[in-house]
Amino acid sequence: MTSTTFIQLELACLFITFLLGAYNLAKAKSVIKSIVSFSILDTSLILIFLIKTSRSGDTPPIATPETLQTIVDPLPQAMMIMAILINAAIISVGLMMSIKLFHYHGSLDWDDIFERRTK
Amino acid sequence: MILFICFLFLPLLTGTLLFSVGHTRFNGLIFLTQSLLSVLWGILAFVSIGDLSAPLTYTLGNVTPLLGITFKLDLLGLLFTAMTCIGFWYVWLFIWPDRKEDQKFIFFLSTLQSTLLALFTVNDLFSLFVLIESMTLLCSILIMYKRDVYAVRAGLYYLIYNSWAMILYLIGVLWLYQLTGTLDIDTFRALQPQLADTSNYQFALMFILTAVGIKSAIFPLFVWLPPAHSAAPTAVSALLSGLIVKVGLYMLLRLNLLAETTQMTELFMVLGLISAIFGALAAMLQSDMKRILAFHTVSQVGLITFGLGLGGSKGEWGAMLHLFNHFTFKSLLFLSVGLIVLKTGERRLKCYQGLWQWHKPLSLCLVIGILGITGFPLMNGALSKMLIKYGAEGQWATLALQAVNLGTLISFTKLFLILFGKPSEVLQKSVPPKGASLLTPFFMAVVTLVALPLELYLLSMVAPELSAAFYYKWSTDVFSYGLFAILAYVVYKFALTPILKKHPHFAHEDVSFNNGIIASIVFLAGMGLYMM
Repeated sequence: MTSTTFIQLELACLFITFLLGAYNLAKAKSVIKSIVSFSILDTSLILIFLIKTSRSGDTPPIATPETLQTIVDPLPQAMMIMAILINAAIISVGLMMSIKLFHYHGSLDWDDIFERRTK
Repeated sequence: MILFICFLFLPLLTGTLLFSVGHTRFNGLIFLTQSLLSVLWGILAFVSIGDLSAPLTYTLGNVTPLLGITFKLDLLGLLFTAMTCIGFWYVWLFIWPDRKEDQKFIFFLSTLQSTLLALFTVNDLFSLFVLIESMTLLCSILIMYKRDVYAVRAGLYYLIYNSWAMILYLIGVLWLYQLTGTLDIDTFRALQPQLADTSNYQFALMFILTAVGIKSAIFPLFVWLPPAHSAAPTAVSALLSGLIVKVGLYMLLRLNLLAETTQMTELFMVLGLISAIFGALAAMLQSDMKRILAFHTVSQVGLITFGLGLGGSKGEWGAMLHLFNHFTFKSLLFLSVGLIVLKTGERRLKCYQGLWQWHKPLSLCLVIGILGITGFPLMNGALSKMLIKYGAEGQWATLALQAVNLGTLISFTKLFLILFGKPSEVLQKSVPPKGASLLTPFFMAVVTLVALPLELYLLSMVAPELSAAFYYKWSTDVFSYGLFAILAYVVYKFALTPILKKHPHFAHEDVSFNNGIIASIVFLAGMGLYMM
């Protein structure tokens, strides 16, 4: 298998993963499942973008006069590290909030949480 | 330059300092910071207004603007940062009597303030994503701050739904980066005319516009808004409804998304009108005070989107002014209602009969807010609504705008009628608010009242024909407002009240999380089909 077809295959798999994540987000009844599918969505998006912005044979983005032609575009790498960070923060806050929700309510079902506040 | 950096980071610095010192005695420092910030805004505005063609910019690390993170304070940035400054004045004043010892709350709020200031000045697409995500995170923590089931659920709903929106935005931004090789907003806007017709650009736009739709609560995507705005602590709901829901509109304006593609613009205008009508209709059916106001946010944001899509000097000025005006009177309404809720511990509308006799100044604030939002001809809402209405003159939309006006009036008749009669049992049992806590509604009432003359003055400087149009159309507006008010009362009395008595369950319908996600996917797919 040549490297181009391999990359194509990878991209196809990641795209399917992304769609699965979206499907799960739309179907999941539990808060935890929603957060997990959000994480799946996010990871597949980051990987797709990293593959799309690099060519095979690229070296890490450390520029010296010799490697200047072969290094990978550094901006997407920096962006994706930031995106990973942000999404880690969101997932951790989401999980923390679902723990609180379970303590208060005893259930993590989106539809089950019907109690309405009057105060 | 140093002033600009101080302006962006001062609240963050104060919040962190107070939180790490841990001594509640120094909490008053936030007022000093806030005053300093307002003064700084004044200086920066004075400097910027002098030369509008070259706005104040600062690039972190002193590299070329294309490579680094650039902050830019142009006219749009000035408007939104002004709103942030005013907004945080009432937030600090409102939380001070009850929560002055709560350092965590102060820390989150001041971090949010810095985030907002940076968001409204930053000049690249990816930093915008980062800052909006941090804003979402902070807001969800603030929404669930009351720590009960309803608040935590609303916070989670807000967090995951808005993060999903930002994933869509990220897809759009990454697609644009592949296409243009830049993230700088100025470069992007310069390239826009060449890109406008390519299918790649349209594809990226589709994702970004869905994200904007979710952020600014356009019709099928507003599902996160009513629970979030009604569950949050009062000061936070006022801020959410007045300022933070407009981040989506800010993205529309900053990225100039509606200017180049006429097809898209028409779609957004129609969606804006639908959400304006839908919001007013849904607000009529509610029985909870805060939910009425939350649905009105959907309605008014739809109106602003319509104005933005309309273009032309009338539509644009109308939308911009309505953006500010909606901030003033919606904050005022949320603050006065929130103060009553705080004192009585009740949120159902029928428990407030006889509000006028219970507390006259607060009722007066409520009346000012109601007159403002319904567009009473002496209030600021009238000017912006009139500009949007006459910008759409001769089109089919005028009729729809009249329907929006009528809907707004009907649902606020409901709120207005609680002023009359004898105080109810709930009100008689509770102590009326006194002293410092009344300061915030008064402050916002003054801002609302002062806004009209200021805006007229501004318009007479920049676009004299628009302010002249206001004076000219004034008498017809008084007449139509009176007519509509009578009509609204009749509809409320003889049509709405019987319906609500028969079907009280209308008030408690919330769209579930899964259906919300499905709605956004359908919206995305529909937009793709529409563009093909």
